[in-house]
Amino acid sequence: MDPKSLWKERANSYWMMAIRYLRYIGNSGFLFSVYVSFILGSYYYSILIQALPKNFPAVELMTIVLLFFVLKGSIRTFIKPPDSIFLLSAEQRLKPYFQRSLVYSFIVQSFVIVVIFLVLGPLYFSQITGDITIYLGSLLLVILLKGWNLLSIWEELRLPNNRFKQLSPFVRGTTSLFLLYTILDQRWLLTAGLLIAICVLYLVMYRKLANEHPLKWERLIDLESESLMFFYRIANMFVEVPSISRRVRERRWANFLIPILSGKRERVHAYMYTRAFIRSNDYLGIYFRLTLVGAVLVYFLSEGFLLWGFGVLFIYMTALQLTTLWPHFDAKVWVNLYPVSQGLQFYAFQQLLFRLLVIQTMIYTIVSYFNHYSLIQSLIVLVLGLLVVLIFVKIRLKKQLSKRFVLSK
Amino acid sequence: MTNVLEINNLSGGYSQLQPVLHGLNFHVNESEIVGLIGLNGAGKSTTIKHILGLMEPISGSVQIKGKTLMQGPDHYRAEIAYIPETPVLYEELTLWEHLELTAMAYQIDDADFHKRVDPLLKEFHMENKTKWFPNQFSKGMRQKVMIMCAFLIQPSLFVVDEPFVGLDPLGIQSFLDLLIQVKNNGTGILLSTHILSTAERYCDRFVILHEGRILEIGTLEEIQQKMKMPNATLDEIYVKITRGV
Repeated sequence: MDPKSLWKERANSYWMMAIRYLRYIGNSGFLFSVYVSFILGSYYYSILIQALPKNFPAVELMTIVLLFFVLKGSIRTFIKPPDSIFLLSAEQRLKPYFQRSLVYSFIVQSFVIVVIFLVLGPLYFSQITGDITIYLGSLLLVILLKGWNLLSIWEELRLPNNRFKQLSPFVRGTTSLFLLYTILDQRWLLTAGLLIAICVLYLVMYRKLANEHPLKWERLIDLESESLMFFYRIANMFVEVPSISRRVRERRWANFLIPILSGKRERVHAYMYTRAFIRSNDYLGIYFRLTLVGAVLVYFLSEGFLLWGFGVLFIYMTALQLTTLWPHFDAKVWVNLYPVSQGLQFYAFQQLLFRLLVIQTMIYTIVSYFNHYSLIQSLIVLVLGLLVVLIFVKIRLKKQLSKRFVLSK
Repeated sequence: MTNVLEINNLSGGYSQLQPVLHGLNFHVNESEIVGLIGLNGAGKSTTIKHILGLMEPISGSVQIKGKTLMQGPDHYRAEIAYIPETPVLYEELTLWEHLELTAMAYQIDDADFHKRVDPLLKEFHMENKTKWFPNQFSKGMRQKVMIMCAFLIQPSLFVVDEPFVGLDPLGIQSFLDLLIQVKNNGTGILLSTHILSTAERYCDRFVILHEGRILEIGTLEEIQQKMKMPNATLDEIYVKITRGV
């Protein structure tokens, strides 16, 4: 068994799967809204930067933002649950496999750091220094720090659950914090000192753990499945992911929504869909988040097309996301055995969507009124919103669903 | 006789701050089947994870043929075959590929592999299912795949966690026959199970675990004498012991 080719095989099959989902995400109109928010964002960003006072704590802000990305991000090992049985005896021989995982994670996460650094670039140049060599040098140092963190995390993963295991993230976090600050504040002597210190720390503390502790396979498997789930959850917003294991939370506080959403005379499908919406996966969370972000925008945007457009855009986005609830019961045989006409399922789903989107439209309308205190503006938000809801639920919905799921007659 | 598995004063658990196992002492000899008996949550699976080296002892040690995992990481794991309670298989590999992968991971050469694999497939009636994928298997068949992979290895120690659930009667018999066969060839076996009547017939000694501590250890006669319950079955003794705590 060649660990290198095993790794390649695993990484390839992951990316084959990922690309399939990424294509769905690309086709879903999501990219367009990213594009729009990117243009809008950079416009407001440049205004914001010009308006910043001279004594703005740019170094501190960048330190905190970068610290988050330097510390976050786990190691993608691509290992699978059966590995802890089948490959256990090959642990020592798998070194090249895990080295590849480390290099891979380093490259991916360095890319993230580069992007964050690019985004923070305008802030850096206007507030810290205009010298591009220092900017690039700092970027390089931050990437080095990312690498050190990954190496240390990898060894840290070997530790059994003890005090040292609890302490280690603190050590990494504090040293990273100080180092980031000295880099961004251009205190090069201190930076050099701290760089030497983290190298020593790695050699003295982390490196020798490999000889003292075996790999913690169960932990690696958990981490891997978390990373996978994270990806699936994102993909699941755009397309049904079959391998996503359904997580259920009671969310008792949201029970008051059930009668509002399912109506007085509950029918079986409405009964199921409302409860699934509230308790299963993250449907409720998606709905709340989109409603909240939309409401914030509607509260701040100036009157006119921008206000109306974003109201409509967020209602439409919410509608799209909610369609993923449709196949929730597809795998349950008994739903098809109920002595109820299949058409009622579509009707129930339509009704739930309608109610949710109307509630959202009303929220936007009310919030927009507190923005401008203009009845006309809010009325336009309301009418346009309701129009989108009606068109989507009554006309588009069937087509939208049949694009991705098999509709029963 | 030498000890294949030697557990000395083992305390352990997921968190080193809250041990689940408290000072376990037992061993498995060559050519011996030791039954690991205990209620749900008694610490059987945790003990097994410590033996496999998936968890680290808080104190005490686990030795396979006189060496701990970190003293000889290469040999340690190669000496153990493990059959888990719930079969875990690669969804993208066929039955045959599972066997091949096991041979590769345990560095079994081609000649040995082919010599061992055919009788196993035959014994478990899986000869014509070698190209099947796990999703085509029932739970019992998945269990058989795990069992065949374990027997392919021919290790010094077998660690078996509740193997009988889901297996058909023929499968259980084949499994037990093979177990006796490898035992007679010198392998030590640690068998964790709730099926006490079977354990009673096949195990040479018993380790009765309760809330992370060993309550009784020894042959059935020894335990019967100690409990003053001559002729009692393992079931009866077990209920008495655990209720008495």
